[in-house]
Amino acid sequence: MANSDKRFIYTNDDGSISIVCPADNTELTLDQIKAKDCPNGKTVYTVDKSDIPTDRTFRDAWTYTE
Amino acid sequence: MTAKIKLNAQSGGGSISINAPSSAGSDTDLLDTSGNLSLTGNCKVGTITDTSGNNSSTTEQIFQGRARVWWNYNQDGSPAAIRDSYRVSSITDNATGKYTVNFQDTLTDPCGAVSASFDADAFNTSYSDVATPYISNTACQVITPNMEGVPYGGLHDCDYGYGVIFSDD
Repeated sequence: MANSDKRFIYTNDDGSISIVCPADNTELTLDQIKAKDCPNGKTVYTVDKSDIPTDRTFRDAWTYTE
Repeated sequence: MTAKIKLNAQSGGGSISINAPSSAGSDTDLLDTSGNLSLTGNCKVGTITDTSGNNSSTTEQIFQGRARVWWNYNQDGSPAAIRDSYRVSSITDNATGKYTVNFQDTLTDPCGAVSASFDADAFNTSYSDVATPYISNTACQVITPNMEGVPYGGLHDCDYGYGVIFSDD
């Protein structure tokens, strides 16, 4: 499985969500990337890339619930 | 057994010539019949030149001028995705027209440049492909406003987001 098959999602203070795309060409593991690039103190969800909507028309209105 | 060749600097230094072998053999890994040098370990040099002794570069110049980080990002992908990158740990899709490139390593006094193209046509006059960065030691924030659109300067996603970062270490 490539790193880029996954995405990390967290909710920002303003209610928007950020979606982290892990790089494939890196020495870091998914867990290391998650720990380094996602903020402490926030719940971070790991999802499959295919779970991300492909239509970005309303990207800024996206929210995430499990 | 490790073999070493050493020059005596007290006698004024000198040079070592290694002649290319007339035929390839298992004991000629260092130099092939075309004169190509192959090293499997570290090569410690001060300056590299071309075969005429011109176009020299010190290893420091090469290191300082070498990109520490670069990326090719599809901000408008389905979903947004990294096409290729070097020493990037991840790219965060923050919002429409906003992304953050997270560096694999912590850099000192980094600088660099970013650019963007809305689609696969840099001559498309419906869009002004602008990208503006802020570069910290660990990441590069990028916004991509459309300077031709309405509202003027409104953020939008680009198919092609590029960036290169240089640093002291």
